[in-house]
Formats: sequence, C-alpha cells, structure tokens
Amino acid sequence: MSKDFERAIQSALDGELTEYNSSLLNQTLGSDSNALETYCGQMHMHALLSWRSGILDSKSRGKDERKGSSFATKSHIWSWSGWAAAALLILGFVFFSVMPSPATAAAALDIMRKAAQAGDRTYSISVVKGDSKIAMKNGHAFTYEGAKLHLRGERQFVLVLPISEGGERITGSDGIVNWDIVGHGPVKQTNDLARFRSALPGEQQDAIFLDLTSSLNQLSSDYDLSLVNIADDQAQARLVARKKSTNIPGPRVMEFTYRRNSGVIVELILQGLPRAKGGPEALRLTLTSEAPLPEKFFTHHAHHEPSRSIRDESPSPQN
Amino acid sequence: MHTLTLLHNTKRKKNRHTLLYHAHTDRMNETPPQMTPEFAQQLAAAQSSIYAFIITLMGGSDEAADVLQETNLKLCRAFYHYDVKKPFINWALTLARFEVMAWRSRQSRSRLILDNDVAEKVADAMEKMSIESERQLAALERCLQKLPQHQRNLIEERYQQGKTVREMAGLKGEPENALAAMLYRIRRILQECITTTLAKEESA
Repeated sequence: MSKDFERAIQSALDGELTEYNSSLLNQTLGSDSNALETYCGQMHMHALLSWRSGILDSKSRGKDERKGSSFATKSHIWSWSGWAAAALLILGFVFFSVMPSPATAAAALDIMRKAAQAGDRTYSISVVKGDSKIAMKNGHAFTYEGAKLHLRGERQFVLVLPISEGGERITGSDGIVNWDIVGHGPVKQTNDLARFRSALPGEQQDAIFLDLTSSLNQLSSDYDLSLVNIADDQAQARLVARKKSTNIPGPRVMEFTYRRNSGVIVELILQGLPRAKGGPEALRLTLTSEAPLPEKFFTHHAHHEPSRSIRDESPSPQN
Repeated sequence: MHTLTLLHNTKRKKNRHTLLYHAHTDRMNETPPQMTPEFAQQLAAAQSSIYAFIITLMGGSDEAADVLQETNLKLCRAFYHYDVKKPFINWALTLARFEVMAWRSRQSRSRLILDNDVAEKVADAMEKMSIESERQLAALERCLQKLPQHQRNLIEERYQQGKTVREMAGLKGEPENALAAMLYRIRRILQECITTTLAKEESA
C-alpha cells in the first residue's frame, strides 16, 4: 500500500483531508479491493480505539477536557462498569417497560451508552443495619464499615476491606487475573475470574452486579421495579427494585440513585442481604470520587511491596 | 426521505434498500409495542460494533456518534420487526447503513469524504467483515499490553488525549508523515494481534 494512501487514511481520521488526499482515497478504494480491505481494517481499529478511549463521552464533555487526561487513567469505554452497568441496564429496562415511547427508549439507551463510557469511580461503603464484620478462615474478621470499592470497566474492581485486628483485606481483578491479599499474607491470584469475589456486596446473590448477562434477566423477572422522582433534586432520580418472592436469592430491596444526565450511580442501598456467612443486613455505597485511578491500580502489584510472595492458584496455565 | 430515494434511484440494489427503508419507516409510525429487555440488552451490546460500522462508512467523520444515536432511535422504533431467529447485528447494521445514507443525503458534497459508489463498496465490505467489537475490544486490551512503550504512548496521545497527527508532530518535532505511518502500522499490528488472539480463543 502506498505511503500516500496511508497518509490519506490518517488525514481522514484527523479531519484534515485535503482535496488531493480525498481524490486519492476514493480512486484507490474504488479500484483496488486490497486497499478497500486495508481501509476497512484501519477504520475498524480506529473505531475500537476511539470507543475504548471514551470518544462518545468526551464528545459531550468537550475536547478541552479530554486533553491532559492520561492513557493510564481513562476508563475503558467498551466495557460496562459493574454496579453502574447493571443499574443502567435495569434503567434501560425500566424505561422500556414503563415509558415505551421510542424517543424515551432511545434516550435510555443513550444513558446506558454514557454509563458504558463512564470513568473510574470510587464508592465508600457503610453498614446501615446488621453486623459489619465477616469472619475469615484465619480467625480474624474483615468489616464493610469504611470499606472502599473502586470500579473500572466490566471486570475490573478493587475492594479494600479493613480488618478488625488491623491491616486490610484487598481483593480485586484487572479483568485478566483475580487476586486476594489478606494483611501481610501472600498474594493469591488466579485466572479463574469467578474466584475471590465473594467479599463483593451482592456477589453472594448470583453475581448480580458483575455478571451482567444474567443480571438484567434476573432483575426483570425477580424484582418489581419503580422509578421515583427526588422532590428537591431534578438532576437525580431513584430506581427501586423490590424482590417479588423470598424464595429468590438476592437482596430484598435495592435503591439506585443516579444522575439523570449521565446515568452515573451516586448512591446504592442494598437491603435484606443474605447473611448465611453473617455480616451486614443493609449496606450503603456512596460515590465519593470520579478521579481517574492509575493505570495499574487494578493489578495486585499496585497494592503490595515487590517482594511479596505470589501464589498462583489458577486452574490451568495462563496464556 | 425524498432525498434518500433520489440518492438510490440509479441502481436496482439501492432501490430495494430504499423500498425496505420506506416499509420500515411506514410501520414505525404505528404505535410500538413494549420493548423487551432482551432487545435492549442486544442493542446495548452491539453499540461498539454499530459505531465501528458507521464511522467506517463515514470515512472517520466525527459526526459518527450523532448517526449512531439516530440509528439507535430507528432500531428502537423498529424493534418489533426484528426476527429473533436471525443475527441481531446483521439487522442492526442494515438500519445503520440506511442512517448513514440518510446522513449523506443531508450533507453538501464537499463535506462527504467518500464518494457514493465507494461508500457502497465499503458498506458491502464491512458487512462481510467479522465485527464482533465486544470480543475484539477485550482482545484489544491484551494486545495493547504487548505493544512497546513508545507505541503505546503514541496511541495514548492520539486516542486518549485526542491529538491529531499534526499536533503530535509539532510537539515532538517529528515529520507528520513518519508519525502517520507509525500509527498506521500500530493499528495494523493491533488488528493482526486481535485476529490471532480470537482465533486462539476459539481453538482452545
């Protein structure tokens, strides 16, 4: 492929196509099937990279704000973001169910799309009701009171839980490896993304927040959903999900307070949490920060000294 | 709609598309039944794929996001025409193609990057390509990790910081052509890496 053709593609992507490049691009694409394939490949990759970088969200925020943000800290736009994503899928369903007009449905989808592009978020956790502690195998107990949950993308999270006897239990996933660190103990890691998630609030309920494929179906079938206006705040609304039957696993009531314009969940209250392992009956997660986190924050390396021993408990060798 | 018809009235294939489009939009005026959560889920999951399709047809225009929104509206309106036995993405891309054509009909010729016949060829080629953006985006994450640091930095500047090649060249004091060629090469490397990664996953 000629250098001029490559340059023409780049110019088109930069919005700086000259008349000469435009003519070259069209002539080449119209006459050369290999060039056509190359163009489609380049454009498709450009689309993936743009989508990943949050191009739609940043478009609404303005280009100036985009500049200066770092590769390390931008969210991965393609992927849904755990709690917020589940909530927004629910919101989409609610809009479709309660207000099925096409425009509203499209608006709901737009909100869902924005949520998919949302940046890093940090929630603080507080215990509303019940025992804040859950015992661990080593005899110590971790607590949800004062815990923090950091989210990025569909699979990346870091949950920091204070240990009553001192120190922290930090569990997380970078989307490729799940890991768990208790105090000064070894790092346990696995490529089984279903492991080390049991400490996540709601995780005991069939992974309602992280397994998004099932969450929407589960919520739409198992919960009665209602939208509530917040009287003194037009910028926010609340979605309340009430479980239809006690025979269904999961929290009894979930309340999502979200920003109307962006779909970002600012508060999540879980009531009637299963307590087979003890622990809280009701939790509140409050959005405390949307500041970008460091690129490697969701790997375990960011949370221990380099000399810490690492125990790989993967069921099979990683690729 | 009229301009859309004019755009297509020279070729039989395009006429068929136009008639289909009219049929869709006529039925869209009926009162729509309630949308299913399954449809909403499929639509949400297909967003990046539809976006990729649209921006390619539009020659990289930054108005692709607006056309995506219009497409979403049309898909929502037409959802009860979707045959669940057929792949959702094919149906979605067909409507996206109509929306791009409608967008083209609203633009002055000087604003269009691709000529009509070239846009048709690109659309045909894209419909034959494997656009599974969700899986491809997941593979992209791994592939980016494999890039040398300086190449990742270029991707960061271009896509995360939103700089054009000209801006990057000015800041670095490097020739624009060299940077453009490097970005071209990186996208090709990533494309090959994604293809290989997904092939390995499928064979595993």
